[in-house]
Amino acid sequence: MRIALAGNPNVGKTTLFNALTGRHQEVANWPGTTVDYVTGRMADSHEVIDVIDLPGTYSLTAYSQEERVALRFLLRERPDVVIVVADATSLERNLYLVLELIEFTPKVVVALNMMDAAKRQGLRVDVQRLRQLLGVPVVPTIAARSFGLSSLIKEAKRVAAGPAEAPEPPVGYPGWLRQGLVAPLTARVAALPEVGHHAAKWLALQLVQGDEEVFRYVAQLPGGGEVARLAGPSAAAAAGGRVATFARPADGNGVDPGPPRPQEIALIVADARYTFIAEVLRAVARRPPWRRDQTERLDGLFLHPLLGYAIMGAVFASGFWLAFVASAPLSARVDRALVAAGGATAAATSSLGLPVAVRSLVAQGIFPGVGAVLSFVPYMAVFFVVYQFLQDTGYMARASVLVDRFMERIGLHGKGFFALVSAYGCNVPALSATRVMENPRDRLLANLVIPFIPCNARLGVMAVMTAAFFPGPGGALAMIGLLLISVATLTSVTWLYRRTILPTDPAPLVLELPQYHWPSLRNVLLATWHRVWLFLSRIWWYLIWATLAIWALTYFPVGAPLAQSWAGRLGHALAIFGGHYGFDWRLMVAILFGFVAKETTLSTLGVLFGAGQGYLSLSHALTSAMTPLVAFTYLVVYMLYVPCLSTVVQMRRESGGWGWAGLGVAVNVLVAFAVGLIVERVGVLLGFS
Amino acid sequence: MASVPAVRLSDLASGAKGQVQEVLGHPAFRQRMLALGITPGSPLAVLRRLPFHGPVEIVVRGTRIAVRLRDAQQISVLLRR
Ligand SMILES: Nc1nc2c(ncn2[C@@H]2O[C@H](COP(=O)(O)OP(=O)(O)OP(=O)(O)O)[C@@H](O)[C@H]2O)c(=O)[nH]1
Ligand SMILES: [Mg+2]
Repeated sequence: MRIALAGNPNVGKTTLFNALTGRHQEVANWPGTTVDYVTGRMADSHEVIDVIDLPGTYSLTAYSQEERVALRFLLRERPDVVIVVADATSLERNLYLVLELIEFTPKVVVALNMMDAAKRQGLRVDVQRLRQLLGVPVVPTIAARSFGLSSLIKEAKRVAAGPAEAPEPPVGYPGWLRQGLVAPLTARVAALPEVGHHAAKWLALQLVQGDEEVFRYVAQLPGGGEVARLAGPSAAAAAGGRVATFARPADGNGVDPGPPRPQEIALIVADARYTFIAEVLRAVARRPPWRRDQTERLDGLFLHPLLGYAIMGAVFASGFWLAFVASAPLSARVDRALVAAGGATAAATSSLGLPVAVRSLVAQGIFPGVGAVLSFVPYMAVFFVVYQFLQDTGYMARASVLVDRFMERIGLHGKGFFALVSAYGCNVPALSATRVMENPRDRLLANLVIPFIPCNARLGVMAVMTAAFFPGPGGALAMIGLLLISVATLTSVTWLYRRTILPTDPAPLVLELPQYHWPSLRNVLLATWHRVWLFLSRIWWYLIWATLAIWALTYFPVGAPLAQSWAGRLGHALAIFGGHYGFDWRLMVAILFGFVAKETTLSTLGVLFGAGQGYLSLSHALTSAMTPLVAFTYLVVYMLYVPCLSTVVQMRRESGGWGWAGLGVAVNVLVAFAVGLIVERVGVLLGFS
Repeated sequence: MASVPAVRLSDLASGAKGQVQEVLGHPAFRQRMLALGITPGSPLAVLRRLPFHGPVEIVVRGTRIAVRLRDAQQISVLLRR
């Protein structure tokens, strides 16, 4: 048996899902999208029950990618039962989706969740009466405390085994709409294969509202093309011209308003549903007079015109401190363990008498590769714990609202702010954090520009080099200059993308500000585990091969000095181009190798410039090999050019294909070298050298 | 009632209360508003306006929603007095 969990965003679907399935979960991508879905299996003594956690949707009319995914699943995969999770504290809005689902399928059970929060607010719901009025089972639950789950599953099983046709959906639409438009179309749709009578009615209702996703679905069914066309541009045609006679009574001036347009029908349908909901609520819910609740009080602080920004700064700063600074000892420990393991293995291989090449491969190829993969784990894990915590509590929505105005200026929006800021820590999780934007185009744009933001690793290289070349206050100035260049580049590139291939979507930014909730530890940890695991499972393959390639480039031809190795020869070839900037072969090799992991750039430079251990030796080697202008130009290019390999792999995943990732990388390289050239020329003109 | 002029949501001060009169703009925008329960006749209250011409936060049908100022211009409201 398969159960799908549907519901508005933030109502507790995932909490319920986690409570039902425990650790028996699997994450995957919806085919053709970047939306994840999680399926899980329930431990049940009688049968195998698969549960699917659908993305949150406000309605069944697909608007965001998440909604499209949810609708597609319901249409094409046909779960045995749909559990609609509804937030009891926001019943009026939540019942809208419930009504749509009741119209869509006879197999619906409502989980009336957040009953604890409702009770705290003094809200009382007559569950029995609600059940009667809706015509489907309603089970009160508190997902966060696993309350009500067994009755919920009992009802789900009962409904799944019950008759296919449930009682008529309860909402009454105007007669002219029902009989004039929907009924004739329903008959045609119901005659198509794989569509039952119940769903046919809903499909017909969607078709006359101009729902494109449903249009596509019906059109691809055998024989469906003609039916869809009938309902297509002119709804009147579907009813064979009878609409006019059923149309609303003529207006005050006696003018026949003509056949209703899809948009007007959508309005009438929504209105009928909300009118019905108002009636239901009058009958079942007793709400105490509105008073300043806890959420209102907290918002007074968090959305305060002054304090709000200060608090946000503090929240984000401590979040990033946790993720990128406090996790450092963990990373160091992973590092040390690997170095030790590498040494032990090297000793073992030499005592086994294996050839030098194999020993070098193991010590300089495989272990650094594994290290590169694992070094991500500590801060990704902490980052996602922080991220999920802010998301689940409801704080992230507030922060998005606070900064939306500024983000709008540069062509992005508030929900992308956290991702952008966190990119200064590491681009990789920042790319995942763009998920919160429901519009795929906004998400894609954020994905394309985030790599321009220098991450921790790049900032480290920049700090060391600026300190070496610009001693004293000059170093700080150079660093600020670099950061300003990166912000200016980011904004101009965003602007360019908006003017060319990714214009602003007409869809609005509408942010729901949910009630504050104390998140459950299980939710946060499971989500973190899923994200880290997904990342590792995708990246390890690339990273290991890349480090092996670097090993081979520097190792062969066997015994040659670095300048004559394959890497050296490649560097010399690239230096023909780099010469325009004053970059020699060593700097080009460091740029190339930096692609695998930016963290290694300093040690690569150290090796290439023949520096000994330690900062002083490296800075001395570097300053004697190039001028400050060359160094500054190098840092500009280095800061902007290509994010590391992990970022590119993640970009591919988040943008849905190599095409976009490839474009992003190409733009990165082009922009980096273009900006570098400008900086170099301006520097020469200003008399720097 | 008909004599009370409608105001744009973007012009309302925090604390104002009224009813949605009409939602204009792109179909995708209107569709979204419908799903969120912003339909003609639904009661609405302005909770606060964010600084720097940021979004307007409203309560509709028991839910808090932030709408960008530019989008709020597309929503006309009949004030309750
Ligand atoms: N008080 C209370 N809080 C709950 C309950 N169920 C879930 N929560 C909290 O509500 C917040 C949102 O829960 P999620 O399970 O992430 O909601 P969701 O429906 O999966 O949200 P999306 O995936 O964003 O659509 C979390 O902080 C939960 O801890 C409940 O029954 N009572
Ligand atoms: Mg969820």
